[in-house]
Amino acid sequence: MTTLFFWIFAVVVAGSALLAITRRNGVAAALWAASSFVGIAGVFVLLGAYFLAVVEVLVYAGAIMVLFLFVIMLLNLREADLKVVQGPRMHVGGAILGALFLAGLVWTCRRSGLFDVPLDAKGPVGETGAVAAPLFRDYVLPFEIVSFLLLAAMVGAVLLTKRRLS
Amino acid sequence: MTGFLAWLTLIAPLGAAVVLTILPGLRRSSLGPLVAVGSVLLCAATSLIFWMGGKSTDVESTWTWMDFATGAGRGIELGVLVDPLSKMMLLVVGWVGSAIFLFALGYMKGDPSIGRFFAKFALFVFSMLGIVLSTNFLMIFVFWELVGASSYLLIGYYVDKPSAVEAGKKAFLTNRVADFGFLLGILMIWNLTGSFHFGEIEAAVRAGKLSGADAGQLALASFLIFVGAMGKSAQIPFHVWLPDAMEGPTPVSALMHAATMVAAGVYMVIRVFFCFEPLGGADWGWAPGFVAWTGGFTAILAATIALVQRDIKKVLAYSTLSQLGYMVMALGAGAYSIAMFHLTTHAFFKGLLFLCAGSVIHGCHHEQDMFAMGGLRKKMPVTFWTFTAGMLALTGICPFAGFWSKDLILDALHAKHLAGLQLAATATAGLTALYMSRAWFLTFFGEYRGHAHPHESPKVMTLPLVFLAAMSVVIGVAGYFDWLFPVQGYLGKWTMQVLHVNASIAIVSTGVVLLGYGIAWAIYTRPTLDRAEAVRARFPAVYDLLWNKYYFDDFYLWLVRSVQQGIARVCRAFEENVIVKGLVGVPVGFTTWVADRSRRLQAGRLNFYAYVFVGGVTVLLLFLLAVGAR
Amino acid sequence: MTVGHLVTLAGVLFTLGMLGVLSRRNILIILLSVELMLNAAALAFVAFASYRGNLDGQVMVFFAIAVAAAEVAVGLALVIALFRIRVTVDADQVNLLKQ
Repeated sequence: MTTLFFWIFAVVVAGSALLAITRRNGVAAALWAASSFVGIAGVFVLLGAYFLAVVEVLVYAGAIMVLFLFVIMLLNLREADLKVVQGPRMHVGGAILGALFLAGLVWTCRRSGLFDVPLDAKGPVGETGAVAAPLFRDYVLPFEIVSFLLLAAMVGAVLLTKRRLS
Repeated sequence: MTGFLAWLTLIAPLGAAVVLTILPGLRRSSLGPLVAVGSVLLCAATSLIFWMGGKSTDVESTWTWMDFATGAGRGIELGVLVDPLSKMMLLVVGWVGSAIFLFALGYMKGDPSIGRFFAKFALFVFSMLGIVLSTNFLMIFVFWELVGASSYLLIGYYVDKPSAVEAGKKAFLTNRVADFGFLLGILMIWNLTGSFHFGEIEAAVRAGKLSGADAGQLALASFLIFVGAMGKSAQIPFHVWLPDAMEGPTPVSALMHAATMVAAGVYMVIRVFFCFEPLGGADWGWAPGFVAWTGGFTAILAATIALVQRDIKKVLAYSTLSQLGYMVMALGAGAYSIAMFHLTTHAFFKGLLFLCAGSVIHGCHHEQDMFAMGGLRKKMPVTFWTFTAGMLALTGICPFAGFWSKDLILDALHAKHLAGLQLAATATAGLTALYMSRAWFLTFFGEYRGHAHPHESPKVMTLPLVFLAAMSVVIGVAGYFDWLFPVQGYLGKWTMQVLHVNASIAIVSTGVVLLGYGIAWAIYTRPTLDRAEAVRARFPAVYDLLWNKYYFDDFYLWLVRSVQQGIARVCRAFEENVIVKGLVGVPVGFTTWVADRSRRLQAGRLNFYAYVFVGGVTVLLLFLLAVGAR
Repeated sequence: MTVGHLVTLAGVLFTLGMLGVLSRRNILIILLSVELMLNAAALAFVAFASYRGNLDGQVMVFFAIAVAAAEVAVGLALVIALFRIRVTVDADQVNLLKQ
């Protein structure tokens, strides 16, 4: 059962990502990316990372993708304004590089025996409370730093998008 | 004291030239020329002091300019050498030069750039004095080139006259060719003896260290040095510049032909005569024979060309060539003191003749064609009489100066059993009489054929004429007294001892000279000159040959246009195709290709940067995997 | 479902994101592709967290998502600022540094 869901989510993740990077229309691309994120959230659920699955949907598929869509619509680009893709050489070269990269990765996993380790309900359950414990105990300093990072990003974004930069 | 005087003599004309050049106010004022004249008069005075001082004024004073400190003779020295030889030459340069400078005061009067003229004139004298007083080959070469440069400036003095500028260039370039030989000779001598200094070289040659192959090299070196002398003394085949040099003002011609430039070659050979002298009785020297025959050819060819010239200065120019041929013949025969003697007498009477020609030209308002003169005897009496004295001296009528020196040369040739050269020299004497009396008759006798109003020249011009004429009469005796003409004793046993007049030779040569006078009298004293035309029409081929100067100029022109241009074209093709397209073009193309390719790395394309980055990561990943697999 | 399967899925997602970065010229899509790659990393983190049996990996993903949010905010602000100056979102047109 878990395996079946894994394959379904895997197909959703990979297929949506493929569609996302090939769409000419920015809005369609963003929506397909959101679909991919939802698939990832599904995988998280399968792995017991319930809190992360929710965050994934809320932050990624929700906030970030909404921001993307908002900017895309704000700029109101017409497709004719844009040569959307690089030349074929880039595609072929990128595909070869990607294939090599992937092959290396898979081979590594195979060699280190990762394909022989089943994960069915073996790991810890990442419920909100369970994740909060290390977050606020062991990682409280990075947590605070991230809050400052977010604040700085917010200020920076506001400053950058102001009308007069000078 | 003597050393100081010698340095002063050398520096004074340079100082005059520099002062006149850098002070435009002085250059334009009437005082300017006097500065130059004063510097030359100083030279005349010191030369007299040196000459009268005898042995007590012999001095050698050197100043090391650059010291390479690797042994004797390795440095570069400047120095002044006062010995009997340079004393005689100083007398010539000083006194003839002074006369010519004074004459030039009158001749150049009214010229808008007279200051510039005298500045260059003084520079010319300075260059010549450097040659006269130099103690070593390097210094003589420096001043040798200075003479070439200043002669270029003076021949091309009339800068708005294209032919003058061309003549200046021709003189300079011809001399450059010969100077190249001179430089090679100097370097060979240095290689053989390890020194530039005349005294050291002489000692090395005298010591008999040079034998076998070295002796052969010395012969070659002396030949090359003589090539340098051929350039300055205008010997065939380097003579072509001298007639053209007549484009300069007449005082320049006088100075150049009498006392300075052309004399430099002969003087230099006498100065380094030890290189030409056969050693130990063995006849290893082909160089002396070459020297003698060069002089002989020059003498007779120049004399024949002079027969047909119309320009009075050109006649004198070819006459100079011919007389230089005499001197070189004497050099070749080993009679150095006699060559020096003839140089001295020639300086006086040839300077006189040129100044007379200048006076005539000045009086006829810059007309130089003798066929447009005539009858000037009455209008210009002083010029006429002094010219006559000069002519008699040149043609060698006893007791004028030329007779004594020329006769000694003939004696020397006779003593060396050079019958062919003696014949040529005697014939040249007759030709000399013919062309000089032709000029004399055409200029001063008959009716005036020109359109100007000839007048006698002012005192400042005639006084030098009278002085030089007097010298031309008396100076011939000097050569027979050692205290008057110390060169003979100075060179001692190294020069041929001929101090008597061989009566039979003198009679023969005088007869030939008189024959020349007679022919000229028969042809050129007719009022209408119809006989001259008849002679010309009788021998058209000969006339053309002489009028075209044996086609030397045409030959050189052909040489430059066909041969040199051909070589130049080949060189140019080589340069364009091999050097530019190959040696330069290939690296350029390669660099451009590399740059064109590598330029794309920095094209500012975000994707490409990412591409390279990802590629690097992938390669790194695969590398680590491959390492880990082992 | 094994660790290898999850890592492979993460690799596929990462490679797709990488291809997006390499082959697209629209800056917005490039940013989107970067987000895909970040998610691939997050997936790998969670997979190894399960494998190792503790929650540190999940905490790390939480931080990654926070950083991604900040990055997207600043990145999109930059795109807007750029668009204002150059009126383009074509990455190849933004080559002022080359000159």
